[in-house]
Amino acid sequence: MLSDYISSVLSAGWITFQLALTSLALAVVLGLAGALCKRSEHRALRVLAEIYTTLVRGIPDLVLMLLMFYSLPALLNQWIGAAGGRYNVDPSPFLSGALTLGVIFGAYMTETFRGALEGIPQGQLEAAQAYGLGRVKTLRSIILPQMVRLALPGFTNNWLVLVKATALVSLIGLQDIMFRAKGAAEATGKPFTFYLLAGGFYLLIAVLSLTLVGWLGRRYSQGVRELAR
Amino acid sequence: MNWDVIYDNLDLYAQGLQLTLLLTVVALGISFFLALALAVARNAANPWLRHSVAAYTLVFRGTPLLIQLFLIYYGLAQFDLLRGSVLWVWLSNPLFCVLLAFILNTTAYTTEIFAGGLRHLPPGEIEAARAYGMTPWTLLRRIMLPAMLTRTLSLYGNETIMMLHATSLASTVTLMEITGVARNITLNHYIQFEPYVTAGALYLGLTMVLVVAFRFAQQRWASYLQPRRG
Amino acid sequence: MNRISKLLFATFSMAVATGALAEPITIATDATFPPFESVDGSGKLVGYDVELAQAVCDAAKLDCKIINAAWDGMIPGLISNKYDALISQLTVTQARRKILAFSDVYDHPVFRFVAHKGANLTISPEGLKGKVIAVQTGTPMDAYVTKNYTQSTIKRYDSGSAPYLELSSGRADVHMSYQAQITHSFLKGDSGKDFELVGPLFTGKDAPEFGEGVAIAINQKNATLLKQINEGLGEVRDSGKLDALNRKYFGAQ
Repeated sequence: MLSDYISSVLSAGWITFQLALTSLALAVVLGLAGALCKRSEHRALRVLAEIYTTLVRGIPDLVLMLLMFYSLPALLNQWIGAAGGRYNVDPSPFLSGALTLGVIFGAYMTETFRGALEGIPQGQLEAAQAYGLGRVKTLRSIILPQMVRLALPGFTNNWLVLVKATALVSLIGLQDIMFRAKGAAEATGKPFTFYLLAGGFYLLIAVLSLTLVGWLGRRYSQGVRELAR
Repeated sequence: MNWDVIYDNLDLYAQGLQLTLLLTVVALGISFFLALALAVARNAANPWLRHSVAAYTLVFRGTPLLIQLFLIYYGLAQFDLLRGSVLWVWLSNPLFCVLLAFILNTTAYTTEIFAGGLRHLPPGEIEAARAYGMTPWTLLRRIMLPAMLTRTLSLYGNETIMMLHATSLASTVTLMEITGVARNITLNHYIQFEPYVTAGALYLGLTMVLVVAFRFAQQRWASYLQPRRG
Repeated sequence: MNRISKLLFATFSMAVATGALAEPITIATDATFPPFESVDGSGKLVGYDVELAQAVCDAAKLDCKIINAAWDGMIPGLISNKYDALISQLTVTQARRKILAFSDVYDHPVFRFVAHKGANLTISPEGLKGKVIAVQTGTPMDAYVTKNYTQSTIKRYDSGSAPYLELSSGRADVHMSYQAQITHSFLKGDSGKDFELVGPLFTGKDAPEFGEGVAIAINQKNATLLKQINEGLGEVRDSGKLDALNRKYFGAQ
C-alpha cells in the first residue's frame, strides 16, 4: 500500500511541473507588459504598473493565493449576481493556481525585465534608429538578445522561487505533488517519508534548472567582455 | 460587506500581528549571526567546509519552505527515537519547530547573499589590510564584514521582506499569526473577502516599514558606494 | 501592448466561459475523513459519502462531478456558487442553517473523544484543564470544545486526518471527532493500536453545537437542486441502498 502512495505522489509531480510552466508563461507575458508600462511615457501606465508590483511584492504569496482563489471569485460572483447574471466565475484549481502564480510572479518579472531593459546602453538603440532598423527588427536583433542575457539571473531566481511556490497551491486544494504527499502522510502516518520524497522532487527540478540556465547563460554571453579580475 | 466581523475581531488580529513580528524578528536575528559565520565558511580555503555549506544552502534554497516546515513539524515526530529523547521538550512545541524551519531557511539564503558579497570585495582594501599586518580575525572584523554588509544591504533587505512573508506559512501548523487569524475567521464566520483583505493590508504595511527602514539604512551607511555624479 | 492585452482578455474570457457553461453539478467533499471520504493510494476519491453522492445523483438523474476540495473554502465556496453542493458529513446546525440550505438528514453521528490507552483522563472541562485538545477547525467538535473547554489548549487543524498525527506524536492529549471515523480510520490501523475511545457519547441532543444530523448542503438560492437532491436521497433510502451502504462500511447496525 505504501508503494501505491509513493507512485501516486510522484505522478502528481507532472501536474506540479505543468502548473509551474503555465504560470511561468503567464508571468513572462505580464512581466514584459509591466516592464514596458513602467518605462512608458504615459503616467497612468506607470502608476498602474507601480501599484501592481507594490501590491504583489508587499503581500505574502499564501495570502495572495487565498485572496485570488477565494476572495476574488466571491467578489466577482457577488457583483455578477447583483447585476442579475447567471454566470459563474468558477475556474478549476489548476487554472486558479496558474493565474495566481502567474500574476504574483508577473510582478517579480516586471522588476527583472525593467532592470534588464535599463541595462541596455541607450547608444545602441539610437544607433539602431540611425541605421533605419524598424521597431520590430530593433526588438528582435538588438533588444531581446541583450535583455535575455541581462535578465537571466533574475529570471532564473524567479523561476526557482515559482517552482517552490507551487507547493502553496496544495493548500487551496490543487492535487499537485505536495497535496498528495500531505494526504499520503496523514493516511499512512509516515509524514517524513512522503515529505522527503516531495522535497527530493523539488530539489531535482532546482538542480536541473540551474544546470540548464548555466548553459543558456554561457550561450547568450558570447562576445561580452567581462572586466579583468 | 461584513467589516463589522473584522472590527469585532481586531484583538485577534493584534495578537496575530504580535506573533508575526515575534517570528520575523527572532528568525532574522538568529540567522543574521549564523549566516555571517557560514558565509565565511562558504568562501573558506578548505574544500570540505566550502562544499558542506554549499550543500546546505542548495538543499534549503532548492526545496519549498512548506516542505521544510512539515518535515520538521510532522516528519520528525514520526520517529520514536526522537520522541523519547531530550530534544522532544523543544520539538513538541510548534513555535520551536516553526522557528527552527524559518531559521534554517533564511540562514541558507542569507549565507549565499553574504558569501557572494565577500567574494566581490575590492581586493585592494584586503591587500592593504594585510600589508598593515592585520590578523585574519581583525581583517574580517574591521574590513571585510563591514564592507560586505554595506554592499549587500539591498539584497539583504529583500531577504528580510521574504522572511516576513514566510511567517504566513506558520498558519499551516496551528500557529495563529496574521494569516492564521484570517483563515480562522473565514472558517467560523463564513466570509471570504474581508479577513484576507485585512491580512493583506497588514502585511503591506509591515513591508512598507521594512522598505523605508532599508532605504534609510542605505542612505546612511551605503551612500558612499553610489557612483559619483559630475 | 494592445495585442497582448487583447490576447489576455480573450484567454481569460474563454476560461471563464468554459468554466461557466459546464453543466455537471459540482459536489465538493473534504477527502481527509476516512471512511466517509478519503483519497486512496492511487489518488481516487473513495468513501461512504462519495458512494452516497453518486447514488443520489444517479437516482435524481443528475450529472455529478465529485471533487476533493480544501475544507477552508468549502462552505464559503458553496455560498459563492463555486460548488453546487457539499457532502462531507456536514452537521446541520442552527448557525449553518442561516447561510446554507440542507437536504434531508441521512445520518445521525455520535461524537467521542479518543486518547492514549492508560492516559486516565477525565473527560470534562475540569479533567482536561491544561491539556491539549485537537480538533478539525470549523467543525461542530471545534465549536463544542471552544465553548466548553476554556481551560484547555485547543489546537485546530485544517484537515480531518492531521489531528491523528498529533495524537500519535503526543503533541495532543485528546482528539474529538465522529466515533465512526475514529474507529474505522484510526483505531483499526497500526498507528491507532495504542489508543482508545474515552468519555461519554455525544449526540445532537447533548449540545446545540452537535446539530441535528448530517445532510447534503446546497446553496440557499438553488431550490431546484435541493428538490432534486431530496428526491434522489428519498429514492436511495427507499430502495434500501442506504442500508446497504451502512452495512458495507459499518457492518450490521
